[in-house]
Amino acid sequence: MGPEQWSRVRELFDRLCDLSQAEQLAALERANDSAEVLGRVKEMLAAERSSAVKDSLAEQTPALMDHLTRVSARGRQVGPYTIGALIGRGGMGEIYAAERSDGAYRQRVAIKFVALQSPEQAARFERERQLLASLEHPNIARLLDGGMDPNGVPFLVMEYIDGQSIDRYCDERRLSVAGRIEQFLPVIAAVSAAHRQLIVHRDIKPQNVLVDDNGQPKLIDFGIGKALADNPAALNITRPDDRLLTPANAAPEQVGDGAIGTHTDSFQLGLLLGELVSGVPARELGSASMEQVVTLLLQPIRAPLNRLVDSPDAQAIAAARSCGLDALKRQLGGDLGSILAKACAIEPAARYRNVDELGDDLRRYLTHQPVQARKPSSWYLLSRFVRRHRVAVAASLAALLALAGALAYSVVQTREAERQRALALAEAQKQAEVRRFLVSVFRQADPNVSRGRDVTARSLLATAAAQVVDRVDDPLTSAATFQAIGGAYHGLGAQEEAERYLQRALALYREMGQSESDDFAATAFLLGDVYQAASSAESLELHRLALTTRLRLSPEPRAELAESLLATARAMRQTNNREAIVETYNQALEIIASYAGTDSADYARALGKLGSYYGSLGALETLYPIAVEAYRIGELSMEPDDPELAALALLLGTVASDTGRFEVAREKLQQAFDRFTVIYGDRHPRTLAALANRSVLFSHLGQTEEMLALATQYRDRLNEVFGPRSPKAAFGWSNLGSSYFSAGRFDEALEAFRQSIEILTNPENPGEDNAGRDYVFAGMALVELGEPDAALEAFETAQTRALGLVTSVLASRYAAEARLRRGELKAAQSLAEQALEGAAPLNQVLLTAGAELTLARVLLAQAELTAAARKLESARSRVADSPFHKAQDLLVAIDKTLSLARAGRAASD
Amino acid sequence: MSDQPSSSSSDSLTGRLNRDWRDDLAPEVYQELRVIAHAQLRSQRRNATLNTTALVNEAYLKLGTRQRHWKDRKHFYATMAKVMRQVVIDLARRHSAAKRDGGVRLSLEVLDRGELRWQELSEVIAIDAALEKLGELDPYLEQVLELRYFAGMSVADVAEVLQRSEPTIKRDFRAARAFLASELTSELASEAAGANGGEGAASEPPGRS
Repeated sequence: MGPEQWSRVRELFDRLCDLSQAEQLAALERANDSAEVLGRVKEMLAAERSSAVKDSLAEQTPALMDHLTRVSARGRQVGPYTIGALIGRGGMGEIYAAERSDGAYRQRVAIKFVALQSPEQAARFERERQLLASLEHPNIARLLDGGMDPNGVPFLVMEYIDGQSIDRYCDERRLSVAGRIEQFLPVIAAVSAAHRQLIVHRDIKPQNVLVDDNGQPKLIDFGIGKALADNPAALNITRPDDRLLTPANAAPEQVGDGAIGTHTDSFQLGLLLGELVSGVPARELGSASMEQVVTLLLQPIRAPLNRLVDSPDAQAIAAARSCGLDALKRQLGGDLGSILAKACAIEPAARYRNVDELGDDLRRYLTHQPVQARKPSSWYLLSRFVRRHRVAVAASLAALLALAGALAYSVVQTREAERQRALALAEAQKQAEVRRFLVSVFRQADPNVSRGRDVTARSLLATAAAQVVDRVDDPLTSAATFQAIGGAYHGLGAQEEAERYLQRALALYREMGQSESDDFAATAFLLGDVYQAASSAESLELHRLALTTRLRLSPEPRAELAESLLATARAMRQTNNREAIVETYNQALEIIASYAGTDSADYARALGKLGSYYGSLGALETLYPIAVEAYRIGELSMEPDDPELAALALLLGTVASDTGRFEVAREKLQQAFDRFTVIYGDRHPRTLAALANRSVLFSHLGQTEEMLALATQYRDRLNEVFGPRSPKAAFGWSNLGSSYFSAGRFDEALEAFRQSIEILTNPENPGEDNAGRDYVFAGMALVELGEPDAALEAFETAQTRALGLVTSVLASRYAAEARLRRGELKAAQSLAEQALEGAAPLNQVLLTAGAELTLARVLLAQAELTAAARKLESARSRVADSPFHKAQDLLVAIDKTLSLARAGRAASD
Repeated sequence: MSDQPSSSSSDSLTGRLNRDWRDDLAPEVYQELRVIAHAQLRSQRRNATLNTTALVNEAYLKLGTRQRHWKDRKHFYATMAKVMRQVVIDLARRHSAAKRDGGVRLSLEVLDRGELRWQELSEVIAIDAALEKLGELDPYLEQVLELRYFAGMSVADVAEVLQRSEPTIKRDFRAARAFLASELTSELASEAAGANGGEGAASEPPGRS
């Protein structure tokens, strides 16, 4: 078609375009133009109706135009920065060189514009940005600044690294394998530093490691992936639209549904190093389909050695490493191969536990020391331990977050409608802030992130708290936030921090005239719990405050009221006012009965609490039916895997064990132990409590071997979990000593008690004066070992410390025995009488019978045969039917003494 | 008819345009361009304004480094529109190429959106090719379409820049658009035929015939 024909087309089109389709066809038939012209006009008329070409470009190609908005930056001024050339494109956006040019100094920087998908992403990005800004390490490109450009596109300003990617750098300099590893070590250090701040890179690849002019490797793009992932726990291998992420470097958990964590970086570091030394990337994705790619990514990484051997460029690769092919093969096949295989294991638990270990192993390799990667059994066991441990951490964190969450969602109640509306608005804002806080804690509490030893839940919380506290300016929101932080600290056992935050929350609520609110009451309650945990007398005052506040808000029976009553009862234990305490428990039970019924889980839990109070009084026979009932209701109302049900089983099992109901005890203690093990793992305090009580049960049964095995295990676990110098570890020793004692192995018992005393009297453990009990036990062992002098010294020391009722009785009784051996009969008698007096109200058969035995022995030594025999018969009748194994020992001793007394009587007759 | 209908401002605009784009006055020119671009797009897609701003920005930068002298207002806008067209087409081509050799870089999740984008990209590239064809037949219509479609200018503004009446521009745009649409329709038809027949036009760059 030429211009003449076109002008004819144009003429016809203009004339016909407004006519109806029929008229158009008719007109075209009448026209006597060439077929080409008519055909074109016909096509144009038809096409006009198709709207294939839109009114404007923006309508035609919105996605492309969106993209343009994001990439268009060059020459623009963003804050003090002038955008220059595009220097990179990847991950989540485009990176430009830029210059800061405000007045005095010029600075070259890299600016990354980030494409966001949703407003939530923007908020997350902002939070993450602040975290990243704190990341300072000589081998990490620093995040200098950031913000939003006028179009609302967020950007990051980073240190500009004038360098080349690490693989090119190494190749150009023909670095040897060792040289490459040395070049790589600072990268590991950088990643490790980030991990200590809970930041995971997730996209470590050659392009993200630049080596500057000084030969310093610098890691770029830190944590951006996480900042943007919709679901922080799982990053998609590609982001929508053009922001493609090459998946060749992805860890298997990044495509599967595994959690991303520091182990992901370990994998990617291993992959990168493997590529650096072997010259062949681990994965060639080529033109694989998406499904093939996913399958490929889940497959084990081929050993660098095999990759090299199969490569057609093997000779050249070796040359670029300044060595021969055989030498390179030897290096890749040895320990280095093991290290890389371990770093890149498909199963995260099989990898190095943290990147420092990878670095250590590489340093060992460089200095020809044996590497850890060669010992699969030990690391596998270790990683398995970490994995088990992780569950417990996650479970306890989840629990404390649930607690704080419940507080945050309580609703402010007031009478005036208007006030209510205003408060509701404030509440919404407050909740948003609190939620944000919780989310930030939760996000960081990624158990995989916290698997590094030096990262504790406490430091997570400190980071999160610092992030939130500064940003809140509304006092009510601040109060709610402090409340949540305090609650979380309390859950972590950090009572001092908890107290500080909760006091601040209470003060703020008061200042704001909110001391008659649910939040105020909840905060007072939490603080009461904090003081309770710290054994401070103030707990009662605060629980009472919470209770009265809640009662004033509404006398209606409800969970908060019951909770407050139960906590108040617990705090009242320090007053020793038994009637009032039991009364308070009963009030709680009544309230629960009226709002939830007597067959509810709440009722079961409250019964359990009342029961454990009776337990603390030693009123075991009163406790037993309560424990049975609590467990029965619990079994009906709770899920089988509810830890509270296991706790009720533990209570029932313990009291059954201590009251000689060994069948019930065996079943329930086993059940509690199994459930706790599943729920919390085998190192949680509750699991350990069940373990300890099982060892006590075996002691009651006289099954010495089992008892000692469990007691030893208990000591070991406490050592592992709390550290060998902790008061808890002392408890493990003490328990083991008691076990040896009841097995008649007094030397070992004495040694165990000494261990416990040593820990408890260490100045590092101030305020732990539980050593009194262990002094008594040690004294008892010394008596049995025939060292009355040392024993009496131990008892004297014990007297200067707090002693429990049972321990006091034992101390008196064994001191009497020691005096007896020293021939100090008067003193012995008064001590034995003291023991018997002390034992009577405790209603413990063995304790009383033991005191009677000792008194009888003292009387016997004074030739008061009749009185001795009377005591012995009394003791005998007490223990005759006792199911406890110890009763048998006692019975033997009683009978021996009795026969002595009878023989004496016969002689004197 | 005068060369410069809305005298003073255009005068100074042309004057300003002839300075280096890094000069202090350059931002004013840029600002003016943006205002023009915005005004036309207010009624369209919500973020169209944003898009045009970006496009103007890109085009202006491209212009700034290679073209500094303007005969008149018409020359400036025509060039600007052409550059904007180039920016868009370059971008579309780049992405289209990236998609061709980077199929693996699309996740399953993105696949649906990816198809959409693919269609968008080939459409824009096809429109460019068709417009080139139109330009061989009728350079004036090509210019109308560039101003109206790629630079996003209103009928009134195009009329003013090209010194024509508004109804004329309307008719011109309609014809140009119909021509492009007819090219695209036959392009799609041949592509479909190619896909069905196994070998055919599908592997050809779209729109070149």
